Amino acid sequence: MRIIREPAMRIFSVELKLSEIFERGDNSFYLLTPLGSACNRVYITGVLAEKKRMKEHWKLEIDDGLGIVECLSTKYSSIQNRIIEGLKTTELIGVVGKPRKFGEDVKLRLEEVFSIRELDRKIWVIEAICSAENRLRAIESRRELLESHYPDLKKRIEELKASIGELASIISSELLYLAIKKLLEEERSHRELLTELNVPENILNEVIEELLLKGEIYEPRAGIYKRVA
Amino acid sequence: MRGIREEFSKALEELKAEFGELWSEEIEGELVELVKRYKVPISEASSVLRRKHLKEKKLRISELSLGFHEEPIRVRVLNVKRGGNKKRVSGIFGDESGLIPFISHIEYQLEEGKCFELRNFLVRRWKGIPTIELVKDSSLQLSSPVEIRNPLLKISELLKRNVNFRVRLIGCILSLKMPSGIVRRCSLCGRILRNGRCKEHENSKSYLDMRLKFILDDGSSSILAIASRKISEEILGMSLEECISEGWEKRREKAEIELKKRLLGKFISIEASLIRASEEILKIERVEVPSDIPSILIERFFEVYTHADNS
Repeated sequence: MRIIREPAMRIFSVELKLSEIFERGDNSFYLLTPLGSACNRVYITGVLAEKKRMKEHWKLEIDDGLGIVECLSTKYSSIQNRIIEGLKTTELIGVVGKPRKFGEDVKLRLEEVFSIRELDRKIWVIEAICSAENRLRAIESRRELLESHYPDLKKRIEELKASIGELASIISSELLYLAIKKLLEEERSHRELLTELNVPENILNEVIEELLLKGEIYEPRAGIYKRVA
Repeated sequence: MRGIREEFSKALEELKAEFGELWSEEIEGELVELVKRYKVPISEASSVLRRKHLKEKKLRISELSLGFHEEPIRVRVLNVKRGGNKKRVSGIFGDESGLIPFISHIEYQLEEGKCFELRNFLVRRWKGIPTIELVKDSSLQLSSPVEIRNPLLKISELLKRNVNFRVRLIGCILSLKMPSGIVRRCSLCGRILRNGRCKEHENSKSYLDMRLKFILDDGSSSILAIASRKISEEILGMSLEECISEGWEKRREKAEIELKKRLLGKFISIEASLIRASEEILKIERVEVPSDIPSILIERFFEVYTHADNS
């Protein structure tokens, strides 16, 4: 039989904290998130908020922009401990770990910990939003069925949606800047931009106005835009 | 009794997937009749149906499986190599679903850029990679032009396909397997020395080399990947000489920490072939470390995000 290593799910701390841990028959522990997907390995990036030396291991706190996740290192890996010693607080780091329940909270048992570049953090945020939105869409298609079994589901989903949506709107304007700048290397009309980017019209208008004010693009003819060389 | 029913429904699903558009209720009826009335074993019955109905189905490279194929496939010749053995011809075919290498011991009129319709050919593993082999009975006909496309795949899609030659992937390096970085290889067989010794040749000479072995993960699935010296230097941003001058060869632990610092979490886009031998390994042939957010991710983001916004 083919054994495939479990992929690391990109997940936000808000969703992780609301999750449950359950045990499968073969003695492996899985995380069941409120959006209904199961995984046994997660990948989280964020700012290192705090690191604390316990007796034989380290305790890390990571702020991923929406909340704080606690991670515990293993005492058996000297290399991992030496990497953690070299990390500074307020540094951007990424962790890969297995979720476990300690008391009431879900914490991570670290597999890998590393400092990352700003670009990798941005990519992580995009991937995490995409996977969360995909799960949200999947669960909303089955909502009526689920609500009869889980009465508080609606509230939880709304909370998650609101907090993820906030972050998504910040990153989307940044990505729109990039995408528009790339497209406007040649002259393009307003309608062309709209069809190629597939975004709501009011958001696009806001970004275009801001770019016009900053002087990064200009309007050679009415309704047609181009990037300043 | 239940076992047979499960087996039957499984075989039915497989056949449906394989037939695609050609599937009809009549074929299902035929299968039921063969199995129920004539008591034909299920595997035999499904292969009878395949032989009967799939002759006219046009294959695509991503759908190929190992074995002999009578069905036609339309391909474009991407490149041809002649040499070594007098009659031996090898190269790469492509269509809109991917690429596949080919090999032939019989001289056919293959030229770069031409499109052919192949029939009666063999697909075999050559060094772990599925390869089209043109044999005596194979027929080649000139056909209308075929477009070549090499789509960007997710790793979970990769594991469902049989042919994964030079596929394009993106993902993060999330774990490093040792020995990586600077390694010593046996000069006779190229194996990596363990504890200063080759498995086969005890007193052979050795040379320094660089390689990386890591887990590539894109959130959908993960896979083990191997990079040669040239690729490793590109991912790492350091040459072998620089690594040696930093003292990585002697101080193993320091080297591992330094490697992990530089590699883990890095987002890369690669072109690689999936090799299936004792385990599945991606052999990386080309790598790119993006300096900006890749446009495919921006596209994926807006596909999901605008939809959520509208609802």
